[in-house]
This record gives sequence, C-alpha cells and structure tokens, in this order.
Amino acid sequence: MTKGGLDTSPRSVPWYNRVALRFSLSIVAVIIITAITVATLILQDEKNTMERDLRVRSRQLGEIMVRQMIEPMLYEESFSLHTLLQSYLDASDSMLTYGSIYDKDGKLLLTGRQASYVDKIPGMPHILPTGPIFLRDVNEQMGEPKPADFLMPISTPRIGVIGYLRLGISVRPLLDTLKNAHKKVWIASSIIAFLGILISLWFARALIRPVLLLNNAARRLGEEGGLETEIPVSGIGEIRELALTLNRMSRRLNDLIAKLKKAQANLVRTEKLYALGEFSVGLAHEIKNPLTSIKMLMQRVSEEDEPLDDRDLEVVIGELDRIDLTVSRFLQGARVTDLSRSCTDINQLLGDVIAITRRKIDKAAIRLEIDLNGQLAPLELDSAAIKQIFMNGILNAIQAMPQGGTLTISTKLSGPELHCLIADNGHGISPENLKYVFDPFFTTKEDGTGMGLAVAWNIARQHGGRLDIASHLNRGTTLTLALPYDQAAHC
Amino acid sequence: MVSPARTLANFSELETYLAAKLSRPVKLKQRRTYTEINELLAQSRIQMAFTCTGGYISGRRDFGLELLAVPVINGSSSYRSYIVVRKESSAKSLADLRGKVFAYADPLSLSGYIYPTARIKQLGYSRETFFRHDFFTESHDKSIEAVAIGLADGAAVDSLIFDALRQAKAPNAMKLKVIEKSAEFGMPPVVVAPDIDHELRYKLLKVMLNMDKDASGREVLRKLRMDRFILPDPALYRSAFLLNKELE
Repeated sequence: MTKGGLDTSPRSVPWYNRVALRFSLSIVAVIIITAITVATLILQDEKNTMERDLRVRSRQLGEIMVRQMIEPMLYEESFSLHTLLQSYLDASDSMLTYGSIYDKDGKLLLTGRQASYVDKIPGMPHILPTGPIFLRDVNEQMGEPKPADFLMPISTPRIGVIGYLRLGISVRPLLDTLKNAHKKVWIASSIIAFLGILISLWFARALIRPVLLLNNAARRLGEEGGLETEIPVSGIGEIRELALTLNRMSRRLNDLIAKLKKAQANLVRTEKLYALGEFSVGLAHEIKNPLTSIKMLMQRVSEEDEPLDDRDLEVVIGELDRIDLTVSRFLQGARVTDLSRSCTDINQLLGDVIAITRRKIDKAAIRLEIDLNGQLAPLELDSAAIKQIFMNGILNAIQAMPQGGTLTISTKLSGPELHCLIADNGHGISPENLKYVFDPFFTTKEDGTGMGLAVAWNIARQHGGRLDIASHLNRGTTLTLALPYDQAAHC
Repeated sequence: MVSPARTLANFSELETYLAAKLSRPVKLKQRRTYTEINELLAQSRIQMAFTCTGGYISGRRDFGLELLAVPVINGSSSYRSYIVVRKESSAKSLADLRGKVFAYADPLSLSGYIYPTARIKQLGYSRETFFRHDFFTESHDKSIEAVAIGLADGAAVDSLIFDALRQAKAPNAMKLKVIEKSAEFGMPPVVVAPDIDHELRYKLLKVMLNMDKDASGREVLRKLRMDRFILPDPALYRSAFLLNKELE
C-alpha cells in the first residue's frame, strides 16, 4: 500500500468499475447527447421555418401572378400570358424552374421553363383543386432534388375558376442554405461539446480526486493497525467533512478498543478468581468429609486411648483413597492429559457400557432402544476416556427418569462426523441451567461433583470433536458426542 | 372624348364638367359607329370614349384598348340584349322571326348585333339566310323606331336604352314588347386609348369615380341617366368576349 495518499489508483477496483471512469464517461455521454439533441432540434426548426417560408413565398408569387393573369385569361390573350410568364421565369432572382397555364378544364394552354430544367413537367391531377395546393411539397425530396410543384386556380369573384397556374418552385437555394446551416450548426455544436467535456472532466477530477484519496485512506483504516492512520484532509465541503469524520471515528474506535481490551483483561482475571474460588470450595468440600471421618477416628483414639485396629486403618485408608481420587479427578478435569489412543470399534465400546449399566437400567424400569450404525469403521480413540463419556451420559439419563421411560442409544454418520446420541425422555434441563452444564462444579444433584460433563467436554475436545446437549424441560435430553470421522481419524 | 349617336344621352354637361375638373379644354366628338370611335382611339386622336361592350372587346384585341371605369345604371353595372317586336306581333321568340325583316344596331354592338347573330347560329341557321331581309340602323333608338314604324318586324336593342325610353314614355318604345332577353353583359364601359398619358388617365379616373360626390357631378350623371362610375371588373366582359369568339 502506498504511503502519503498521492497514489489515487485503487488497486482492488477493476478499471471499468472505477468511479472516475464511470463519472467521466457519463459526463461525456450526457454532453454529446445534449449537443446532438440541441443541434438536431435547431436544424429541424431551421428546416421547418425555411420550408414554411418557401411555401409562403410560393403562394405570394402565385397570388401576384394569378392577379396579373386574370385579364389576359378572360380575353384569352395567349401572347400576353406567355410574355407575363416568361418575364417571371427570366427574372434574375427567379425561384421558378417552370410555369404552365391551363384553362378551367385543366387543358394546357402554354408552358415555359428555365433552360436548366430538362425534366418533364408533371401532368394535371384528375380532380382539379379549388384552392392553392402543392402537388409536390417543398420537403418531399428523395435523392436528386426536384422542384416543388405548386398549382393555383386563376379565379375571379364574378365567374369563379377560369384557369390554373402551375409553378415549379426551385428548392435548390433552400437545400444549399440548409446544407450550409448544417455545417455551421454541427461545427458549433462540436466545439461547444468538446469544450464542455474538457471543463466537465476538469471539474470531475477536482471532485473525484479527494474521494479517491479518502477511499485509499479509508481502506488503510480497515487493515491491521490501520486505525492509527490519519487520513489527509483534502477536498471541500462534504468530502472534507467525511475525511474529518473518518479521522474522528478511527480515533474513537482506537480509544474504544483500548478500553475494551482493558475491560476484558479485568473480566478474565475476575473469572479466574471466581473459578478458583469455586474450585477451592468444591475441593475443600470433597476433602472435608473423609478428613472429618479420619479426624473423628483419631479423636476417639486420643480420648479413649485405644489403638487403631485393622478396621480403623481400612477406614482411614479408604477415606484417604477418596481424597486421592477426588484430587486426581480434579486434576484430570483441570489439565490436558495425554490420550492413549488405540483402534476402537465405537459400537462395541457402547455395547460394553450398556452391559455394565444394564442392571441399573432394568431396575429403573427404563426401556432401552439401541440403533447402531453397523457400517462404522474403527477409529483411533482413547477408549477408556470415551467410555467415561458414555457412562456419564447413561447414568445421567437414568437419573433423569426416576419414574422410568425410554433410553435411546444410537450412532450415525452426519457428514464428516460420527454422532453418538444418548437420549432420554426424562425431566429435562431448564434453559437457565443448560447454559452451565459444562461448567466445572455445576450440578443440580445432591451428591454430584459437577465435574462429570466438564471432564467429558474436555475429552471430546481432545479428540477433535465436541459434546452437545439439547434439552427441553419435562420432555427429555439428548447428549451428542460428535467425533471426526475422516481419513485422519480412521486407524 | 367621343360618344356614339345615342340621342338620349346628353354629353354636353359632361364636357363642361370635365373641363372644369381637369382645368383644361375638353372637346366632345360624336361618331356614328363604334368602329369609327375605335379608329379614333387607335390613332390616339381621342383619349377617352364611351363605347359599347363589343367595341371594347374588339378594341382590346386589335390595339390594346383599356377600361377606365364602368357606369352604374339603375343600380346595375350590367345590361342585356332585348329582342323586341311590335306589341301586336305574334312572335314569341327570335326563332319566330325567321323569314321576317330584322334591324341590327351597329356591327360592333353586342346587344344590337353580336348577340342575335350568335343566337341564330345556335339555332342552326346562318345570319345571311335566316331573315328575309336585315339591315343596320347604326343606333339602338333608330332600331326601336324602325320596328315601331313597321320598317322591320324585329330588332335587337340595348336593354338600358329600351328601358330608359320606356321610362320616358317615348312613343316608339311604348309600341314594342320584349320577346327574348340575353344573359347579362358588362355595362358599355368608359375606355381610354392605350398610350394615354398616365397622369391624365389617373386624373380622369379620379374625376369619374368621384362624380357622384358633388352637386354638379350628380347633375351630369342625371343627364347621362347614370348613378355613378365604378372601377371595372374585367370578368364582366367575359360573356361578351365568348359571344364574339363564337361568331369568329
């Protein structure tokens, strides 16, 4: 990672996803689309205006010519009509390419044309119009431009229509002007778009650069120890505020983490002291009873001056054994002892435990259901330790069903794990108590030590597995020993 | 200025009026026929003329005679051709006059010659053989007189002159009846020579159009039996033009 925050190229974001590229492309697209739209609208408007203008001029010219033609038409003075028409065609700024005069039935009387116009003059429509009409409008241009074809009745209020005047209106000047306008508008639009893009990109850069710097700095915050990094404060407005906020946030997070660490250390210490206290009370209690027996024996010897006989010694040795056993058990629960693994058939192991506890089960009027998976391969296990877990589980289940019930013992494979389940339908464990079942010295039994499940949990962990208890009050409890059932676990 | 021999009209007041309005001498010339009037106009020996519709049509065609103004008579700027016979005649239409004697006015007169000739052609006869005998009287009032005194059995006359004579209870007109009426023709117009000075033409037009705006002008109009003058509508003379064309 770069230092100093000057490198604005983000490493983790692919180039096509970078905000700078997307932002720039969006700006360019918007400006180009806007320029094209505006240019098109202007040109369209220009075209419409010019076409309308040409139509109006055509009509006006037609009106004037028709007015001048009424008298010669009335008196059928062909030469006057010809002269008149030719004078309009020959005018230096004439927009006419041809002109024809028809009688009131649409029969051609005479026609005149510019020397440059060689095409055929179109025929008259079958239905003669009552008003001025464009037989070919000024905007109907396909390929080679053709003159607009304008037809106008020659009429007097007294008689009505006495003939028709047809004019070919040249659209060449219109097209030339439009072409010129096209060129100018497109050049102007291109220049405006180009300048617009440059200015916008410059603005975008000024806007995005602080964001990129901020992003880099913020990413460093997320890295190990990055909370101590100060983000360089650049940019303006909200971006500057964001940098300041991030800095403030990282400082506060830093402080908070330090406080949390301190609090956690305190808590661990407190827990340890508490556990030690509990441990001490449990141990003291376990040791106190045998000691009391021995003490009473010793007091009798002292008061009655009577030597210890063999039976007394047996009692003393028995009590001392109890103390020894208690201390060993505590030690076993408290520290990790080495496992002595051997190739073990888990089903057979369960069978052994069931055989041992059979009498107790029968005595408590408990129905036993066994559902073992017969396909299980032997595993590398400390059989004595595992046996202890099963024993513990079955005895707990029996105790949970003083009025009898059903004890279900089963093995099954679940993914990469082997599950050994010992389920009863006894009185169950309350949710509050369930939280503490694996804690050392936690027990609800009068004569319990609270070490059984704690030790079992340790054994399961040492085998790379785990011990779970699911229980519902008055519905029963299921103890599950989950052991790894993979290549490494097989023998 | 010229006028055909239209006895009813009194042009001497107009002569005086025009001279006063134009501040220049005005001379009135009268000719027997419209052909003679057109000759004067073509040679620019006169500048303005009261002519007939047929005279205008041929003058326009021959030498570019131009309209100046059109009189409004009895609220109308158009007139018709009447075919008239004596009251006791049994003829009901022009066709009934076949083999009789007929009087035309002037060879250029639309109502007095062109219209009846065109009608005879329409009926499928030729002018030369339709009547037993026909002749030109050179004016409408003379045609009326010719029929009234029995010189002719029928005549074609200008409706304006016939109606005016009837209104004036002229004895000859009272002896006649109308058996056929043509379509409307443009009123015999006031025309000007084609090469008339533009300023004079404009002045003349102004005087003519404003004649009904002052008392002396109205007096002149009364004598001429006209209401006023208006700008001409060329379409008025289309029907006459077509009739003329038919004969040619």
